Amino acid sequence: MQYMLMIHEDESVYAGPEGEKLLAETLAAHMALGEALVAAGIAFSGERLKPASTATTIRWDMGEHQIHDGAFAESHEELGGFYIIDVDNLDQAIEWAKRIPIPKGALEIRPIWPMSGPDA
Amino acid sequence: MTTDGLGAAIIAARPVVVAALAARFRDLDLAEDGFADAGELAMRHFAAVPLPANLPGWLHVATRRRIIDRLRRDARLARIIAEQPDAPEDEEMDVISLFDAQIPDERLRLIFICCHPAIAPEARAALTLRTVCGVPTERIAAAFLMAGPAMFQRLTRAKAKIREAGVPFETPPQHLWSERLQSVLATLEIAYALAFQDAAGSEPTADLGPEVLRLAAMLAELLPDDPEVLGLAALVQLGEARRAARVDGEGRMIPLSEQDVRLWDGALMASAARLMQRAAQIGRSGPYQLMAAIHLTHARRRTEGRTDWQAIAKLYDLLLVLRPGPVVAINCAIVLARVEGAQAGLAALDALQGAAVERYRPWHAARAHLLAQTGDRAGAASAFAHALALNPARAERLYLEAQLRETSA
Repeated sequence: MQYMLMIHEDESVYAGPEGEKLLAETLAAHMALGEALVAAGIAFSGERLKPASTATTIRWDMGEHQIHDGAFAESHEELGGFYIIDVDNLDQAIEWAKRIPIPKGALEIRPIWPMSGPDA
Repeated sequence: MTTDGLGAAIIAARPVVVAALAARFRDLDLAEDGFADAGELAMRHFAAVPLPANLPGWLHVATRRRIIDRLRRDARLARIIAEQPDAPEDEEMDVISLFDAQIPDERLRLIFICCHPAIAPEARAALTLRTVCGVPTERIAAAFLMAGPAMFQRLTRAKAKIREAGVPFETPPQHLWSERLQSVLATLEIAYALAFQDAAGSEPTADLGPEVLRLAAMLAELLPDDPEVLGLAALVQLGEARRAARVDGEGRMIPLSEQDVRLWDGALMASAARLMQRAAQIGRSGPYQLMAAIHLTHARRRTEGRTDWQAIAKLYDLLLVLRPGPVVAINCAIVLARVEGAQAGLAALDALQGAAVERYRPWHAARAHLLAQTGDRAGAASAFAHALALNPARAERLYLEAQLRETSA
């Protein structure tokens, strides 16, 4: 099964000189996690996103739409990046998700809707 | 066999059969619905003919047949059929007693699935009672003070989450065991709290007591080497043992220290003591064992005629370390009042003061009692009124109202 692991982070922890150090450590931990996934033979992909201040939101309401500056949800934690991994079940997804470095924030695990193949 | 006896035998067979088939077909609804059909079939069939030696075996085969029938009809689930090993179709119902040892015991797997931490805690408790114990949805709804349809929806959502999010139908691997067992124990604790929230048995919730008792005993049977599992089973037994003494003829709560010990169930308390002994031999303490030890110390009043408050105070101090929080802290203060006097207890309660306890009924009730003991009747009446304003269950409300009348008179 494929799962999307969404990293909702408090971006402010990366501000200032201490924050830069923390960011470097976090990125290094992401690299190490990628290597661990490769070593475990798990198919995965993932991307880091630019800060939420660069986000643009299009909000729809019954055919009408408006374009807004910023992320869709007002919160301290923004979607900062994601992984998509292919594992057997939720327990394995949780285990890998726990290894994603997040100094302050939350991680959401969502099963991906199978669009084709035997699972559809 | 009487209809009641047959019904009870079918219910007793349920956990093993549902668990085995849920694990085999990896679907809770299929197993539950299939068992419901098989149970009805059994009620009709065995009204006329004697029971087979192996009713669980009969139900297992009958349920599996129902499931396979349904899968054949349901093209959406054809994929699951394709994954099944060939099921022998021609087993005759009357030779099923030969298959005695053939139902795999998958109850533990089923419990772990229903108690998965990815499911909301309250939904876990409801799902476990529904799926493992077969408690009707309406009764679970009553215990949760919810409308039936809302509870049905909650259960449906939990099952859909298990199916769609890929919760595995396996017992957890070793390195996840502790976290997952915690989740099971916490789920049982919610069910236990629910069964006893009324402290009285005057509301429909009372009915869940025996179910939770059975569930805790089942877990102790399946995991006999885990001391916390044994502790929780003992805790549930001790709570259930006092059921008859917990409420008076008018449905009013009777506090533990004022209960008539002749109404306590000595056999159930002795059983709890044996579980605690086994747990102690394993030698790894934990919060459930401590809670059970506290209740066991209270239970000794039945044979010794007095309560060892010093011992209870020590146990609560230990519990406060493992389970810090207002619930245990309030109990610590109540016990301190028994050992060192009402003023000491009041001081401990006042030290907890803050927004959280202000809204917490037991804090006001405990203060009211201790204020009454110090002779501050006005203060006690005000505290009882506060407690009453915080929405107690019926039995406790009747009790608090009586106390309020006494202090205001």
